[in-house]
Amino acid sequence: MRYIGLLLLVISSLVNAAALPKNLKWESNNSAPLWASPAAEKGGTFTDFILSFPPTLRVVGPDSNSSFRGFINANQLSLTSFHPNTLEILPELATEWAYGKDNKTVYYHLDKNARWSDGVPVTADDYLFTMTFMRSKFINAPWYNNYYTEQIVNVTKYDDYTISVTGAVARPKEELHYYYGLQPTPKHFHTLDDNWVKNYNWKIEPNTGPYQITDVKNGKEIIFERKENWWAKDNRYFKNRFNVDRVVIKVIRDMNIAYKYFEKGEIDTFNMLQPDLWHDKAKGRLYDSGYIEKFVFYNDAPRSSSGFFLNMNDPTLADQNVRSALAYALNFDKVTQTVLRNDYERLEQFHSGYGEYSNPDIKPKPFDLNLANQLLDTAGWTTRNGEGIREKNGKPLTLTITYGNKEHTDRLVVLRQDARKAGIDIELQLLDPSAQYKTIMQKQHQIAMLGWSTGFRPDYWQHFHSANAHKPQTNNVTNTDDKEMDKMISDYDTETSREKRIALAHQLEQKIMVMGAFIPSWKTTYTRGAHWRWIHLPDVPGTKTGDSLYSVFGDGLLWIDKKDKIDTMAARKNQGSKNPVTKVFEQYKVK
Amino acid sequence: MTDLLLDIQNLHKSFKISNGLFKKSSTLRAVIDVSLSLKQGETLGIVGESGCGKSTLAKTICRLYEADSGRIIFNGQDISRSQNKAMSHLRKNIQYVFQDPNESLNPRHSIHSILAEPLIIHGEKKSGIDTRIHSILDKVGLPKSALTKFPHEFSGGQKQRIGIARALMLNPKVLICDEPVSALDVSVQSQIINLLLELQRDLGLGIVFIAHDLAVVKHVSDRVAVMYLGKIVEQAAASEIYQTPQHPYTQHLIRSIPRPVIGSPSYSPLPGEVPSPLEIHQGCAFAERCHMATRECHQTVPALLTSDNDHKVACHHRLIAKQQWIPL
Amino acid sequence: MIINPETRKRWQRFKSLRRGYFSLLLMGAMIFASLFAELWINNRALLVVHQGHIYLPTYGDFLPGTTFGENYDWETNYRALAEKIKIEKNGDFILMPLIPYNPFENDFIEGEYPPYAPSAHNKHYLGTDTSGRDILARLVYGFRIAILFSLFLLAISYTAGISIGALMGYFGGKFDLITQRIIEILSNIPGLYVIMIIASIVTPSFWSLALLLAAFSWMGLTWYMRTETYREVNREYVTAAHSLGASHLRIITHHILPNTIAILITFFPFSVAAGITALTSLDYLGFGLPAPTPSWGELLQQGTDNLEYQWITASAVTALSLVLILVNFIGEAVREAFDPKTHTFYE
Repeated sequence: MRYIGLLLLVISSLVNAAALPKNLKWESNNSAPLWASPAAEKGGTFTDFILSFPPTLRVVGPDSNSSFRGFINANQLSLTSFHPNTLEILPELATEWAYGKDNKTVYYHLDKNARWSDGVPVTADDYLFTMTFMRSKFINAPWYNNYYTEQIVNVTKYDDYTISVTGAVARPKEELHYYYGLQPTPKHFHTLDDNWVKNYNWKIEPNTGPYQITDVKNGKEIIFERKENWWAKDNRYFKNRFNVDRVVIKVIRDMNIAYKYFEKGEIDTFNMLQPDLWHDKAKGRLYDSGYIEKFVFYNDAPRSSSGFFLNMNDPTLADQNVRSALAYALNFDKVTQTVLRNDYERLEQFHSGYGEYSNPDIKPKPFDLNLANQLLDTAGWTTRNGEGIREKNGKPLTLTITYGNKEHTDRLVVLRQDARKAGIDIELQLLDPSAQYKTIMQKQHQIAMLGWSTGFRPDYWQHFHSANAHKPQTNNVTNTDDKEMDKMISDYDTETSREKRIALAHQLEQKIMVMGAFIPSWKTTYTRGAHWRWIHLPDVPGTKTGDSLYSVFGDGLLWIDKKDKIDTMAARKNQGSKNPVTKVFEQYKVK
Repeated sequence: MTDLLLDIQNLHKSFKISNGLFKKSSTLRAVIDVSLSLKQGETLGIVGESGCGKSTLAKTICRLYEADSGRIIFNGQDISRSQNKAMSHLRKNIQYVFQDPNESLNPRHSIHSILAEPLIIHGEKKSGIDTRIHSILDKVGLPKSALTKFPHEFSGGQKQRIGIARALMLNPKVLICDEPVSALDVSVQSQIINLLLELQRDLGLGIVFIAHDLAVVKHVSDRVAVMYLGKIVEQAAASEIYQTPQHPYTQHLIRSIPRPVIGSPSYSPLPGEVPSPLEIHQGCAFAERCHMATRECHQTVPALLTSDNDHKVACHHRLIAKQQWIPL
Repeated sequence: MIINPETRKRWQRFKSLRRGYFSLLLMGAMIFASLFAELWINNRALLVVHQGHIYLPTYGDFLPGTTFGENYDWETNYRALAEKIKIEKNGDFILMPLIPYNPFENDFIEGEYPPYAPSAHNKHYLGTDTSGRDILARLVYGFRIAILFSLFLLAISYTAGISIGALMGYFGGKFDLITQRIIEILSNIPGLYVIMIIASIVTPSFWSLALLLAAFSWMGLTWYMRTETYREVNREYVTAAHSLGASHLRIITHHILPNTIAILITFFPFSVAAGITALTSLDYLGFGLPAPTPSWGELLQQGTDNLEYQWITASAVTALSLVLILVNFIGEAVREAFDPKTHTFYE
């Protein structure tokens, strides 16, 4: 009798458990070069700032796409990651991986030591839950619903620590890791129901990364602390990284006031891509005495898709001639040479810096008033009123640019002046960053001035596919709704051949340029900033693909010399010996 | 009866005085069952001490206060409740001269402005205004140069002339003068009184002359009414009142007139004071201070009855009082 | 018009206070000059004689470059035209305003970055701001906007305050009680913060900002008007007006208001200063009128963000101080002219 029971048990377990294919070649990578500094010391508190308190701590759902989300995401590990310099695949939450013959599936052995910040082990069920979570209507996140249905098709559990992830389209290996790389979602934490959005606005989600939020002072600051016994602290690629014990993110609404805090030593580092900060403010006694050091680090990374996004649902901007005319009427070069001190370069396409995927031949529309005037005449805006602004049916050609950073005003007033020569009246609408974001997500803007963060490969679906048009809370802020564009995007998304994908990407960039709903503005080919000298960085302080020297959660390379901090804070009021430090790092400069 | 300019019948007016949040409010009965009449070209004097309700009566007749009950009949028309157009008609016909010339003229208006105002309110044409102003100025004895000046540039007597002029602008039939000379110097008083009499002769005005000074009232009035605590206690022709007063209060008032005759006995005042009008009296209001008050006086209110010659008295013992009176 | 001798006396008294009187004259001159700013600070020429035709470009529609033989059809660059005429000497004539810049143009110098220091050679007498715009132009046009804003704000809040205060005092009773409570509640709302919140969601225009500010400041006058009206209503000349048949409206406007509002003139200069300060504060914080409206507050903000370029802060601070000092002198003199101690008559 006992044997029959046992036999039934064995048979049932065999039936329920999926079976791993035979002959899987398990891989890992434990020999990639290290990039952190062995001299790094643990300890200290790092203070940084953001311009606006985040509208929520959720990472999906309404209003979740704020800049603060980057801090939270950086502390959620993935199955694998990319080496920031060599781009090799590195193990993270997975110890080994293997590829299925279909070129769509990757198998993973999960690290049995992985723990959530509340101590619960990370298991295969958490990956299954990710699919349930991301497909749930309760999270109110259509982009994720779609991605985790159309792109990531299936997750299979083989046992508690073995899973596979299957995507929709066959891809080259590294792209499988990028597009179908899954993150676990803590199953024990989320209750999915109608109130999920409201209930989880301010809940701190358990994570797997080095830091976790320990204190939220509403409107004022958020504090992270490094986990004492972080399960991954001795992993090969995490050693000598994430060195500071505590990170305080203060809310300081004004850049110039934040800079004053920096000069007082209350903020440790300051990114200075802005020309006036770098040229006008970053000088004086503190710099001359070497208390504050300046670094410039050239990188080779995807550039932020920044510029003007024209809402094509607006009746004036629905006309392509008007959109093109506006592009020809904006004198970007004048701004670059004056307000921007030639520190920036003109961005030429939506996805720039994506290696071969970026279109090498494309050029943005130049400043050409004659062309602008011709196009506007063709568009029917033929008469000019007393102030020189074009009119049609008695209505003047007034376009409103909605922006959220007051530092951009200087650039916009210059663009506005020259645009008048083409008969375009630009109104500037500066809003609080959260208010601006809300307005744009509601698609209530005419022209939005924005910059999107970057990805691994160009992604067109979220920004240009009609499925995301004419509805709020999507990233298609131009309301692009074009059948040809849709086809090109789905071709690109489903194409498996690398050459064909690259060709499609180039064509898409060209189409975006012609359509003219996106007018690219500027890019920087380096990152630069200033830091107090107690902040130490490795000999090569940045990474090829990194976009900031002082990323305490992402690269996590910096450490604090506590004794140096005490000494410097004491000494800073005195005039030190002349010892200014400005270093330029060109290892990864794009030729 | 039909040629009566003003016929006031059984007028009542009281005020509610609040005694704070938690006590019941008291009632101040200012005018109690007053009936009077005025003929064209006639002057009716109303006399009484301060607080007896004379001013309230005057303002009620003028509709500056609304009567609680009773009727006011002007030239045969009942104007007690009239509104709007009828009210406008009323205003034109019954005008008020105020006691204090310093207060009754707007300090920021020029004399021209003050005099033009009644005409402007009632929609007169601009061209007619100046003519009328000039003619009235003449009548009250003021020079044309006064028009561009302001009230504070004039003396008390002149200001009262302006007040009278203003009252005359609309060509009223009745002038109600509320103590028009009480605030003036003695030397000026007679000027104003004579002016009023002159105007009455000229324009055939009916005048209601209110005062607390008997001597003044005697000079001006054809008929006199005496008020005590809101009621008319005696009413008769002026000469009758002074020669044969029949109410103890009236008698007291007349005796109180100071006389510049050497050797005349000085008169001792009435005992007590005028009681508060808030108190409710059972019986005759004067009984407390009356030397001939009996139990009947304290219990029953005496009615205003005609004794002879259109002479009305409200006293239980009027005949005795009449007999007791020694003319001065 | 017959002027009340009391009014005449007050005016004489005011004139005798030299400091206040001259401040008023100076202020008046400044306002007048700013109203006609286009005639002396403008990038449009005052007069152009081209091929025998006379053009007056200052007011009115823009003149495209083609009018003067240039090959572009947007607004003529008159400064360049002036240079051209000087060089070519072809019989044309051009007269430029004293300061040939308007407050919106970005005048960049090749090879140098703004802000540019004051320079008589470039005719940027007070220098430029961080976008290359002439500071003197932005000061003068900004002054005009601030003064007009303040006067408009005043007009609304004084009208509302006087009317409602007078009505409260005149009618008294329940109306007065209820209105008082409403005013108390409204007075306790922190107006400036509410305006800042609204401005960060919706960018206000000149008119909407003035109305918004007026909504939070009209209450101030009602207290004064109410007490004064209460006092006047019980005076006999009001009863006299009643007896003449005057309507409520006439009594309020002809009798009570003239006797009560004369003294409001003493508040007037300080209200103007408050209006200018309010607009400047809002602009400084970024919650006022949108870019690129010329504004002293915006100039101050640029100045404090860039303290190393002292001419920006210096211009804004000097201008603001000057105006506020003048206003205070005027206000003091007006108050003294109305001082009752010198006007009491004893009879």
